[in-house]
Amino acid sequence: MFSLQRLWAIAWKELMVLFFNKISRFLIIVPPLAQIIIFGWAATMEVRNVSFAVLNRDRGILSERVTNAILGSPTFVRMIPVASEGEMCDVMDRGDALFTLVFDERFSRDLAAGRSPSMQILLDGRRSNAAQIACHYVTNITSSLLASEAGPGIVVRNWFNPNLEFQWFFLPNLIGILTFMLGLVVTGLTVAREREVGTFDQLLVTPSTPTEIALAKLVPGCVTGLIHGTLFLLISVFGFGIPFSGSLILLYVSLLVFALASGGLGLMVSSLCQTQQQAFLGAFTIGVPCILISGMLTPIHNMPKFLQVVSEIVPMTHFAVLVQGVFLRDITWGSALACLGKIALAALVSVFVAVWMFKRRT
Amino acid sequence: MNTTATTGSAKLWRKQVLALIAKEFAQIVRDPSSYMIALLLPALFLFLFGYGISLDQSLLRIGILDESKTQSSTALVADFSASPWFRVHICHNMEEVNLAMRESAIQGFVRIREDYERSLASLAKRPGSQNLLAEAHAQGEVPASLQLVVDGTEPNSASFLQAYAQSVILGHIRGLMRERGIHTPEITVQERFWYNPSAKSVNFLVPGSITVIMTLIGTLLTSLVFAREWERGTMEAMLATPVTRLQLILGKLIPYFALGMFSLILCTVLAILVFDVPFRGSYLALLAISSVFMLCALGQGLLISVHMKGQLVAAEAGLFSGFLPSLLLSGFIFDISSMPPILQWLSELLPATHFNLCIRTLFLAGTVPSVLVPETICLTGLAALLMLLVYRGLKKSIE
Amino acid sequence: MPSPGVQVRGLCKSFGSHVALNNVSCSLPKGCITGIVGPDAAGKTTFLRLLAGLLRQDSGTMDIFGKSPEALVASEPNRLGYMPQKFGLYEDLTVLANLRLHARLRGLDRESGEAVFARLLSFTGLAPFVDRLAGRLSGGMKQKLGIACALLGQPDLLLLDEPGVGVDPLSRRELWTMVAELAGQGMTILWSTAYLDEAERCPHILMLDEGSVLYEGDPATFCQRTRGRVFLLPQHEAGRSGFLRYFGEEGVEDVVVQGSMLRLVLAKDAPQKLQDEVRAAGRAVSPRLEDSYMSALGGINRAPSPFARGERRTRGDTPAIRAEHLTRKYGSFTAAGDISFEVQQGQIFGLLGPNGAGKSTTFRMLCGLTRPTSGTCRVAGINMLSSTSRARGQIGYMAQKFSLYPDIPVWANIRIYGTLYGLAGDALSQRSKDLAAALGLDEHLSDITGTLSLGLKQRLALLCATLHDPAVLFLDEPTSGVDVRTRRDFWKHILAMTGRGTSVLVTTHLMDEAEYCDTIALIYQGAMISLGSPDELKAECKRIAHLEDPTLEKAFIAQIERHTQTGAGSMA
Repeated sequence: MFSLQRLWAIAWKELMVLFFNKISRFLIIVPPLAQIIIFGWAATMEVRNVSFAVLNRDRGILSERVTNAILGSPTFVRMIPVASEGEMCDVMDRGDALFTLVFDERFSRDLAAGRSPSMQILLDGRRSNAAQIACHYVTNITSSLLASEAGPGIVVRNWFNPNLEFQWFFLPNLIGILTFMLGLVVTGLTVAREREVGTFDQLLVTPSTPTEIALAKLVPGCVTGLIHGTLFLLISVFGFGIPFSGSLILLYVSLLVFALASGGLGLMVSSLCQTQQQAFLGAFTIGVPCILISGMLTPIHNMPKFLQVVSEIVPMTHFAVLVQGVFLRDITWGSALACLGKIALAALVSVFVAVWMFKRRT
Repeated sequence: MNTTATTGSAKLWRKQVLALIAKEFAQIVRDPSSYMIALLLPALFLFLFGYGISLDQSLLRIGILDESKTQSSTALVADFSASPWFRVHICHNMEEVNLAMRESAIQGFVRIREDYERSLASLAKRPGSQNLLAEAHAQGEVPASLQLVVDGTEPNSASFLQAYAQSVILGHIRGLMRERGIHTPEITVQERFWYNPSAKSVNFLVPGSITVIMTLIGTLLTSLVFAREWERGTMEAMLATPVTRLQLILGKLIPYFALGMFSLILCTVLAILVFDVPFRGSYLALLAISSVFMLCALGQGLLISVHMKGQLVAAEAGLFSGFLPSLLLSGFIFDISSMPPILQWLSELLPATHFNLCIRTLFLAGTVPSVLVPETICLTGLAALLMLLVYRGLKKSIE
Repeated sequence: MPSPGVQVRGLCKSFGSHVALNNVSCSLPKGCITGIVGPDAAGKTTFLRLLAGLLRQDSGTMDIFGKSPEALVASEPNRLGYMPQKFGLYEDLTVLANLRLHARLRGLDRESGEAVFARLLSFTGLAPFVDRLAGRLSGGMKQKLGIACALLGQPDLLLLDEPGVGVDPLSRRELWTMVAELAGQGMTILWSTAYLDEAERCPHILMLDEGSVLYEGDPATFCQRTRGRVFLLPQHEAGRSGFLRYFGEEGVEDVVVQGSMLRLVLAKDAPQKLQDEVRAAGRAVSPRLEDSYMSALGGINRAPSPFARGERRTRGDTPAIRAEHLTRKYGSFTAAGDISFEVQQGQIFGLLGPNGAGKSTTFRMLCGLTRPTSGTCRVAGINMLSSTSRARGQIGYMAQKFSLYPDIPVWANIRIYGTLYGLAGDALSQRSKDLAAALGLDEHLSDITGTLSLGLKQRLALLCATLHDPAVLFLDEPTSGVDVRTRRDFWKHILAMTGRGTSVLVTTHLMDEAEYCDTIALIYQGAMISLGSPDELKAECKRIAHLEDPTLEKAFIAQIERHTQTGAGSMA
């Protein structure tokens, strides 16, 4: 009963529909690419180009040395001297300065006398993440100023991402986000669109079975996923200079399985929906939370426990681990296979449920 | 036959707009997907941003490889274990560490070398440097007895881990020096967070997520409305009635505006009551600025809707021009000042960027005219521009 | 002749390189119905949109009651009512909400609005359905609601764009009565249609073809052009070889089946031998608009149908379709109940019935798109329910709405369906090449499917449905909205196929199509209320309604009316 020939015919049709039309081809290729480049570039948790204010009540020279040392670091680009607390409030309110350093009158005197002086750093809590990181930088600079040559030396090194480039972290994740969203939306909408336009009936009266149709519908999502994966690989390696240390085969296999899982989810959504609008919104309602809890934007271990449990079910979580592992960490085959297994399980379940729901609808 | 058409044209004009609004509302009420977007999505997003997404660091998993195995090294390990920031995994050899790092069982590790004890001895010999403002400690000269290695894949966590680990080590050494009666001066840095004293990321993520939600309602929901009317042939019927294009636009704008403002109020109430985000500004200012922002979002959605006649294309345009930029480019999660200049420029063109700054300020800092006034002027300008484009777009789309 | 209400001089309109209207001039009388007739893409919709002020002309003038459309719309918008194709209703609003919206937009105040509602609702018979969603109405009711919305401003000029498409004869007749009454009150009405029987009833017609005026004036005068050349002769030959023979004959301008008879239109210069033969066999009848129209366009396409070639299907004992007690229930509502019939090989079986009567449900059960609640259906002896895939390999299906993929080239659609029906390699390419050449699609193989004209699309749909030479062909309102010439060609192919033993199951609202059927089943209120050949139905109508020589349409309406009278209480 099950015929590969028919499955292939429908899959080929899906690909034709997707890629023959100029507009649809454009929509599949160009916006995601633009997203990779723009957001890959924009997304950074590093703190750069920081402006800060200084309220200096200290008459001595040492506070100025501290300020200059901070300004000497590439992170900080502009220092706004303020004369009064009122002015300081203005500058902070406007968001011109990420933080203000306050030196009191005794700063130089204390230091010269061998006492430990204190300085205040007032941070803008509206950007508390950036402010916190900037504060660490400042603390590091001040303590290195006074560092004694004695004592144990500390060597700090970063593995996998020596310069802590945020892109190295975010770009591999972005491909996961895009493959997932496109797989969800493309698969979800094609079924709804066929229903709306009426081509679905024409397909159903042919000898092809619902299983064949459902499986064939997964192909375009996988193909676009692989195309994006390839483009992305080229962009991140040659455009952003991210090293690729793992196995290409592993990357492609996991991309394929992951795209299947996304497509299966899309198919589930679409079998519940009547119109394209509902399918789109449905895909969106499922897709965005999945992205948010998958650890692609923020680390999973910062989340509350129950969300960490939920994120275990989301295939994207494991894909994030896998793709980063393949790219940066030279992941061990053992843990790679464990991740792949979880994604494959998710794919299997979602495709199975989708096919079942699909059959019930027709 | 035509007595009614000309009586009281201004009144008639208003009545026609009201009729269009009533129609739109009736349609919204009947469509389950509009409930989803107006009620379910805001609640879900707020929940996720409020509880799930957090930039605050929880326990960091650190490995410690103690090759020295002396009393002093054990004391350092104990300090790490006692620190509120770390969960310590004791490792026994380099292979184990390597594996744990590759499988990201740990986020970084401290390697205490065999000569650690000896290097501590130097503390006693040289009672602190008098050269107070010496150049930075030249690491290469002294063979380091402590190694701190951090998993850099996730740079944000990595820099936190670096900073915390270093402060634990420094604190430990200072303690030792005090024990031995050596006093080195140090600059104590007193951190204080303004606007957000506990420095919780919820406090800025939740107001920011309101921006995302309003963009979603404004842009995504409206990007389909005209496309749908063209597809179903109702647009033609409308154009054949005496209503003008301006009335048609108003008939779409007002109901979705109301829906958006409703979600805004809902989100604000949830943010304050459920997530305990402080609100320090004026509610009136919030309403006024959100209205202007809502107009921008609606303008963007309607602009897409007027130009894209297929629903699929319109939906995708809404996603890529509305939702993703407001999530990633508006300073919601990623700080704008750290982006490359071109993107900073681009982000200035996004209504979401301006609104984000306003709403965070209103929530956390209060009504600060020096922030709100210029941003509101920018928003008003963008809203006017978008509305003009919508009006002109609708005019052309009949042919 | 009444004074002109609409005067058009030298009207031209192009969209890019496509000329929609080319120098159209006409003068349409006030206070009567004018039919705008023409095939798909003749420029009917553009013409109406120009008059409604929705488009601007490139050149030429239009004059409605002494004003240009723009001036009229600006000063007295309510004098003009317009119903677009697909009726322009908000399907997710109730009947009343739709009316109310239009009333307010037209500036009616509450009291006068309510009065107009009451009148329009009783006039259109929609009063019992005010709280129903417009999307849940049947096609006929939607149409009435569309007209009611256009009538709210009490216009002097009413523009109706193809109100008759997809609507059953009963509703069409009610609609016509309604519109005729309006015209009687002095309203000027323009009614665009692709159907000539609709146009024939109009006192005045404007025939458009490819943007130009083919004829303007009284339909009777146009009919006279073929006077003495139209004949009705009995079909003696077995099957439909007579039809096919005349179709290919030199000098025949039109041939259609009417039950057991053939209707022929001979060319002026038809060979004497043919004229003598036809005169001897049949009788001359008075011409209809359609006869003259076909003649004016140069007659039918005489090329033989490719479906006539090939082996004749061997006659087996198994009927092509066998439906046994098919029933489909939605909750407590029976959409179709206890429907049983058989279709023999080589026969055409017609499913007729008003919109929403259960005809579509029955049709969908038969071709396996809807699962019956109970009952079975066999196609070519194979159970549709248990061996779905195998049974489906035996059928071809043409949907009411064009349902091939619009964004890909024609050849890709052919390939997809060929493969799905198990054809491959040389067999597929040979078969598709043959059919495409014969159906005139060979020059369009690399065109994008969506850009084809309606007629070509319809031929492509036929091609894709018959690639695998199915035993049974399912046609769901196959020629809805298609012009006469294309329709003739279409039935030529269908009859050629049945000549080779293929069976056809067809649903239709067009009575001239129903005439081709061997057996007609009338579905009404979820049940089959009568079954018989067109001639039997007509004869029965003659008996129950006492009509002389009734048309099939009259027979259809009589059956339904009889059923409503006798069984009214049963289906509340």
